[in-house]
Amino acid sequence: MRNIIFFIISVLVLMACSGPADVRISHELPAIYPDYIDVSIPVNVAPLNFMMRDSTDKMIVSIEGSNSSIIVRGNGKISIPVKKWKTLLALESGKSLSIRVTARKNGKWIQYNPFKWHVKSDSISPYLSYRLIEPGYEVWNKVQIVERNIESFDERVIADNNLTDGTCMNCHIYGNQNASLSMFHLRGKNGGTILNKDGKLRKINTKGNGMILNAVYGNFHPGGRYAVFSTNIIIPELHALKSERLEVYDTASDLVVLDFDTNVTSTQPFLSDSTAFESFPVFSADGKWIYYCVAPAVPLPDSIKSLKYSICRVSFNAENGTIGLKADTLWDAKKMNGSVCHLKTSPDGRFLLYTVADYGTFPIWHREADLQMMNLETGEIDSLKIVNGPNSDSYHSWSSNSRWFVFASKRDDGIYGKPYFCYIDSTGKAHKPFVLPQRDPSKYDNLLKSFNIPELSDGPTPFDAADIERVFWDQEAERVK
Amino acid sequence: MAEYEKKIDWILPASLVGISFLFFQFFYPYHLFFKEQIQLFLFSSDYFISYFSKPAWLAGYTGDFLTQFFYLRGGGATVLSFLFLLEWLISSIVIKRISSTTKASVWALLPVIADWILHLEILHSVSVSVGFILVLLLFLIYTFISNRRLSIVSVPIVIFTGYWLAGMTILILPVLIVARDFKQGRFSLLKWIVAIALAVAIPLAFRHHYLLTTLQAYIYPAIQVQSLLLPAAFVFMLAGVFSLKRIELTHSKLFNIAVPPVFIGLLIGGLSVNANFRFEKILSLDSETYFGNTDRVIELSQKYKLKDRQATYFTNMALAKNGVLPEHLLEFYQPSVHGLILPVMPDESWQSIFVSNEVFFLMGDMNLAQHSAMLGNTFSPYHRSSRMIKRLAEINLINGDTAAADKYLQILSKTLFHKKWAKSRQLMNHAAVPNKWLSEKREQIPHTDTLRKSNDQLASLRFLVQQNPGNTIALDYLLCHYLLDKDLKSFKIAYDQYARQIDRPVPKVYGETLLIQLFASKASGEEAAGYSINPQKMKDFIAYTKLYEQTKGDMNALKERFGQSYWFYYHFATIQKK
Repeated sequence: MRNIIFFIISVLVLMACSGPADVRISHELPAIYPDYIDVSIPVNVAPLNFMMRDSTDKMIVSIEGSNSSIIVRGNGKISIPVKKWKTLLALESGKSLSIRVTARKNGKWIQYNPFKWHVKSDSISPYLSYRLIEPGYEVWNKVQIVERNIESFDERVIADNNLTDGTCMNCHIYGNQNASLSMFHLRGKNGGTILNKDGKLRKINTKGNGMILNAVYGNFHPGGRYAVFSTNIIIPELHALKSERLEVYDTASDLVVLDFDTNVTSTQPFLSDSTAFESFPVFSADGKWIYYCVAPAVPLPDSIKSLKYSICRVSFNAENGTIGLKADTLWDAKKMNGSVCHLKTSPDGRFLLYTVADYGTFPIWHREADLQMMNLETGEIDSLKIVNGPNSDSYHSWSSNSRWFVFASKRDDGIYGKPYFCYIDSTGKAHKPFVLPQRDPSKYDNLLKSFNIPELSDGPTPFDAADIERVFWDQEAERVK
Repeated sequence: MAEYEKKIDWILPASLVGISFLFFQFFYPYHLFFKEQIQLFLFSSDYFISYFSKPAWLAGYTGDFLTQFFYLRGGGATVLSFLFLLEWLISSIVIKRISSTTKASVWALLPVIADWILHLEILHSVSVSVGFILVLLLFLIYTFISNRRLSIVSVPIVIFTGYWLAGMTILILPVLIVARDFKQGRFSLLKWIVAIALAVAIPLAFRHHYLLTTLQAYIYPAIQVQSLLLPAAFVFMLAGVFSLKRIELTHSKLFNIAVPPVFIGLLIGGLSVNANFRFEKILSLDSETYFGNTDRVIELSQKYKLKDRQATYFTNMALAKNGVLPEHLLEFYQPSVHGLILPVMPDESWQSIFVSNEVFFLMGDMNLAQHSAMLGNTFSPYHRSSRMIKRLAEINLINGDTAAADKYLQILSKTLFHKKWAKSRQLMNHAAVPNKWLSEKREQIPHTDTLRKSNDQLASLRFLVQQNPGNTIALDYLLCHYLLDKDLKSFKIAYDQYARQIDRPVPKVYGETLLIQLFASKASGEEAAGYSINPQKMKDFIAYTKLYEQTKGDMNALKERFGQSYWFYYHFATIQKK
């Protein structure tokens, strides 16, 4: 009896291990989701699990490097073993992996053309924070700020508005991609800008004297003492045309610099008058400049399509916290016939990354919104053709080594934004981006939330949702002058 | 009588379960349909895993699994009566385990009655009932531990597991543990303190892990505090079992006679307090709208004669869809313009926001429909609604956003009851030639752009009509908006610009409105004749005017003959702010 059982088990094992018979060779690439065909990936990324959405019921995927390989089997989707993956990437750093997919469709096996994963030895900042929010246009209900370890699939919620009376939470941004310096705005009665400095949390009411409203879009000075903000009166309105959805515009917006040591704001008259809208300010990598977007005021909403933002810069003196008196234009909206927003300077100071739309200041519902990159040394502009998708690409953030950036793209369905990573090589050339890998690749399919404002950091933030709850309810907001 | 006393053990429960089925099936079915519409149950691994992010994962998953059957006619009533039967059965067994009562099956009806009363609420989830059953089952497993030491050690495990699997109903576990020890004559104060302390402390200790507020941690998977009535009723029942033990033994006959009326009284009392039959009627109009039964909506509305903004909203849509809105508008209650379009505002209820997309979808304003449907989904209690996902799929299908439509349709393809619908829409989404319905809906969509505030109803209506004057539904809504707002000047301008080009007899309410406007502007007979208003209508107008003058504007004198005329509305209706 024992022998019979042994025999049956052996046959079953052999059957399970044997490769597929009668395999048809296809010269096409497999239709995998997410699109990981010929992408460049950092050596420290989590496994790129993927699936086939067609009638594929079985898959055998071989991931072959020059020194090692992995074979993964799955039913319509694969889950690459994390340990084997890490070892493989470590061995193949700087080289390319060849991925061969053999799939069973309607009972027949097909072997597709192999594709490549180019493993870059430049690591990416291993933590990513983003806001998970329903893409419900004007309002919110459940909002979380989530931190994901890009090297694994671990994620944790660092702020949840369920614990803060349902208030809105805005973008969580870092100073120098350093997790011990970050901030985000909590709105509502007990709200304020939450400043994390080495894990100590401060709550600041950023509405200083003469400011039209509280701080909105902001960026840390590399020294960490200052932040530059725009303060905006934001109006949401709905389009009527089917291909458009929401338009958000400012009816007033100014720039201020906030000194976190003294809680004092400063500005310049030309950055805070009503003749122009200033927004999305950022410091240069050396902290000597403030880059920002500016558009001459136009009657809104009637002239929304002529609301076009240019890129300007003004000097900044970190010694005394003063802003210069004269601005230079780097990107002229009139000449370029577009409108810029979301400026981000690379930590090495070489590049300025931004989003260009046809008009306005809210590109996430603009299908034409694309990323562009300016070489700050040469003034050359890269239209990042290989990076941009058919829908909105916006809200980007650099990795601390300036070799990677993350951005939110709606390329899949036009509605739900997802974080994509793009490699910039030493010559400044951009490579095909890839979406944040998930343990279960079908996660994106069922998710009804957008990954909003993805930001990279070198470490985990030193606070969690419980800390934010305490600050929200128990801590008085500091006032700024 | 003696026979009755013997059979009371099963007559009462059987009657209760049977009546509950009949009640939910015939008197409260639309609440149950609606419960399914605000849920979305998917057969997928990541959906299953999502339940582990909160306590009571098994209760939540099973409850939502069962709720999907509410989509079927009779499904909701069957599921609930089955759950009530289980609650009764397991409660009876538990009571027998912890007490020496001979009336366990009668006492066990009390939590069933409580749960029935709770299920009258839209927000009382099936997961709470399932959680209650799970906790009782867990306790029954615990009772099999006879070893005293093991029994003590297992208390933390049972309570922790209970919270993990079933959530808030663990609050009854300490009571059950103490009661069982009493029955067995085991007095272990330390164990009891540990049990009580854990039941109180575990939700608090894990609330940050589960990202819940203190209140949510104690009531999860319920979303409203009222759901605590179920464990409370169970504890109250146990108190009854122990405190009335002597009466039960000495006056068994009296007990058998007295209990049924008391329980029936409790049930009737609960039903009268908690059952909202008016809302059931509104939900019937809503669900029939959702199911596309336009004539049924009108029929029900005529029967109910509800003076309710939402009832009017659904009725107006049904009339508009049948092309008879201006013909029958004033036969129904019209709270000024507020029964035409439901605003999406912070002070509106989630349920009102949930249904607000219907009218935009009907009129062809797909962007506003999408906006409302997104918010409907976002603000619905579980933030994932099968109905909203279907609507979002349809909107994107009509807009030609193939990828977005695919996103929603593939979600629906993982459901049990919407996958067939999703499959048919998938075929439409990828068909080379659109079918009749799709072509017609696409014709309604504006082809130029404008910006408007989401609640600027007039701007949206004007734009729709301006874009497509042949969109009679939008045109009727625009004209009815003007006339209900008594803005006759704008009505006349829009009527002249758009409605006169449409080849149809002058609808009743338009004719009446025009007559006022023509009379007020002292229009010539030739001009008036140009509108082709029914001559009888003109005679009626003269009769109305005469009577109005004779009675010096006595509303009561005019009401009988002209109560449904626009002239009456114009004179006597008060414009409400909302």
